[in-house]
Amino acid sequence: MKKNQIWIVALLAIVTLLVYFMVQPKKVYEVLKGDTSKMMQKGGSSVVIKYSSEHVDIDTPSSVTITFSSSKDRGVLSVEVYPRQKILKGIKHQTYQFPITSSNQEFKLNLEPFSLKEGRFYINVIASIKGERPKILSIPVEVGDSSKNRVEAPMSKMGKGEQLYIMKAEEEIK
Amino acid sequence: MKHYPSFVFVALLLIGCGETSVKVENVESPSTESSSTQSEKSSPTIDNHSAVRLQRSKSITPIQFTNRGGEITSCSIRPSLPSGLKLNNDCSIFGTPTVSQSLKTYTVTGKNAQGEDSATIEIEVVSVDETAIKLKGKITYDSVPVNANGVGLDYAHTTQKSVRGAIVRIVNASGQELGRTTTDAEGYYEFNNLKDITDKVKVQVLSKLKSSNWDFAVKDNTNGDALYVMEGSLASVSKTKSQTRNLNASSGWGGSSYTGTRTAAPFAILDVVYQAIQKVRSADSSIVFPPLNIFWSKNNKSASGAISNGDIGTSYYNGNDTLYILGDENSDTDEYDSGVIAHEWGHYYETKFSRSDNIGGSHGAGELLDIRLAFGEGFGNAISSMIRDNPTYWDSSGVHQANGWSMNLETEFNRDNPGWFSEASIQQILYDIYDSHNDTGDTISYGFKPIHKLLIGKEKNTPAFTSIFTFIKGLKDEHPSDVTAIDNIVAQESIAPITDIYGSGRTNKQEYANPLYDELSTGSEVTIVTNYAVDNYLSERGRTNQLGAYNLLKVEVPSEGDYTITVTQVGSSGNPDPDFYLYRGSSNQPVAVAENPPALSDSVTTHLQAGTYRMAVVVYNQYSGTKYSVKLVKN
Repeated sequence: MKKNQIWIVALLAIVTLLVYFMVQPKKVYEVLKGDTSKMMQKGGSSVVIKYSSEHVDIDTPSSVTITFSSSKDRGVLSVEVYPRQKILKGIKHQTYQFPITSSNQEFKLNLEPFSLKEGRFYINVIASIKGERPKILSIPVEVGDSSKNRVEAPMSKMGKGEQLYIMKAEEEIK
Repeated sequence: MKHYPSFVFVALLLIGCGETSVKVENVESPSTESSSTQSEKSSPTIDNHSAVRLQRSKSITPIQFTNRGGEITSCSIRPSLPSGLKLNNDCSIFGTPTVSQSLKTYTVTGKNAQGEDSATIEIEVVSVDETAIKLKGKITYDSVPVNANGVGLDYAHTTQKSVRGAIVRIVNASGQELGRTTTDAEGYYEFNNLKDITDKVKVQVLSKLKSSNWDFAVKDNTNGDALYVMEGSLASVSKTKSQTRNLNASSGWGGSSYTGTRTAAPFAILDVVYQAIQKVRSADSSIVFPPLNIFWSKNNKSASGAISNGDIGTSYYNGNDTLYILGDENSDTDEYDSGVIAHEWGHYYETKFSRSDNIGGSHGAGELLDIRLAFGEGFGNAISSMIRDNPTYWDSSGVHQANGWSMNLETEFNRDNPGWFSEASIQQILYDIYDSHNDTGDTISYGFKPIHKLLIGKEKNTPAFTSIFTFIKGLKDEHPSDVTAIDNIVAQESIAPITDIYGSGRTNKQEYANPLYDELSTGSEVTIVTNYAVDNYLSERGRTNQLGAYNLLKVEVPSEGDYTITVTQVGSSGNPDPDFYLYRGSSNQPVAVAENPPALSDSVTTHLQAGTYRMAVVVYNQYSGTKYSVKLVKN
């Protein structure tokens, strides 16, 4: 093969790669949705929380919308929001107060968390009305490969094969 | 020397040694008597003797060799016996060893006029009886109490509580189990007879309560369902004296966060289960509990997703053989919220031994709830306090577990909307019936046994849906002399005297009031009115567990045969989805279900036995005030 032919082949390869990366479809992630009225939840709270959370790439803000509603027609809905992991940026530990009236029983929060690492992270939400048990929810925010931050604990097996999670005890020998 | 099968008896004698009462193992052969068939003129034929371990300074039961030949007239032994032991002419050994020695082989030679024979014996002399040497100790866990005001955990007042009824085992360095026992009611364990243990061992405590009557274990759903185990260090067991190894499971709390392994958590959960077992056994000591796995993890959080990832939603009973318990720091941990654990265990108990018709879903204390849900959740809170003999129920949460919520089943008056539809009212009634503290309107102190009897009998088999009506009617039937006292307790919750299992005289209290139960029989037609309160509120939120969302019917089937049940809108409004469920007897599984796609009507044809059934009808996608006709037709 002549020298100029080699150059042409190399050029074509580079162009092909460039075109491939330019036309590659953008990753489409699902939008996570949840609704405490359809989840197993502790009793004692009239608050229902719904959310949608956009699965995003690294360093891309996720659009998280949280809706709070209550069958109560009076009182104050207090909402505490904070990231479960510090690695989740864009939201701070914050408390919101929403006065409830018979004509205003639904409230909305929009958040834009992001992360510089991949994984499944959570926004902790505690919504309470005085006299009721707080409604607690951890809203997932998925970034890139959401399985990246799973941590497995070391295990051993009992004789017949049952998995054991061994934890050190405080021990006194005498 | 001939070898015959030997028959050796091992005798265990109790002796005293110093300050300790110990056992000694002596060995003797059955007899040195010559068989009558043996020729007195034959030479001795002596069997080898098995090894013996003797205790120093303790007189021994004579050691005798089995002789199958002629009578022994003289005997010798090589080498010399341990000091203090002597040899008889018939080769039996007797005396009191005075010096310890390791295992050593001796050869005895028995003679008579016709000849001689030899046999061996191994003798060891120990300073103490090793069968009395123990490995023992106490197992505890860090118990973190709730603050005095019932809100948040109080780590500063952490105490160590006993791990009761848990499996303890000793294992060697390679994990081989060398012994297994169970902690007692004070958390103590003890291993005897360690004489064969030569390895270094460690003590392991399994987060498991197991006997022939129960099998409860705490496991990690985020790590291959592994069983939690706390263990001590690998150390030698003394051959000369007992050893104590006390183990404590640490909370892992570092002052402002969990900095260490939360070893205590599974054992705190297990201790609530231990209390629950004791409570039920106080009513029936022979009861057999179906196995239950309790999954707790520090990763278990209030999120929707994969259970293996810890996204369990909340602490709950799955209706079968599993509890899930929250453990997510700074959000919601439940391992020290004993009321929450006992509540969920109560659902397991109710499901396995009684009957739960609870339809679940989100619910609040002041809400007017479906009677099945109200009773199920009120029962859960009440049995939680019965198990713990503590009317306070708390649930810690938030950053540092410093916040939360609590209620007291004895003092929670002046609540919103008391009544037969309120879980708060029901928990108060049930606890008043149980407890020994008499307060306003409460003069009954039954304890747990009558409640258990009712739950596994009348309540389980009631033809109506389980509710406060079925429970109170059953209780009054079993305690006719206490009817007035029972009515007084119920009246404290603004409930008129209950006289039947269907709540006769009550309506669903919604805008379009239906009787609590309608009655349907063959050929008849019942009209019900949908009640999703104002502007489809409940339907929008999936809150079909509110009072009136379901319409309940008592259904009489006069004779066995094929029947068609139909629910049809009176009119043609919207795109509704009527569904219904038919039940009978002690099962909470429906005998017929109609869950077809949205339409103005839904129906099911099925074969039914004669008898009384119960039916629940719900209409989705339908505004309030729409009428539906319900028909039962024999085909």
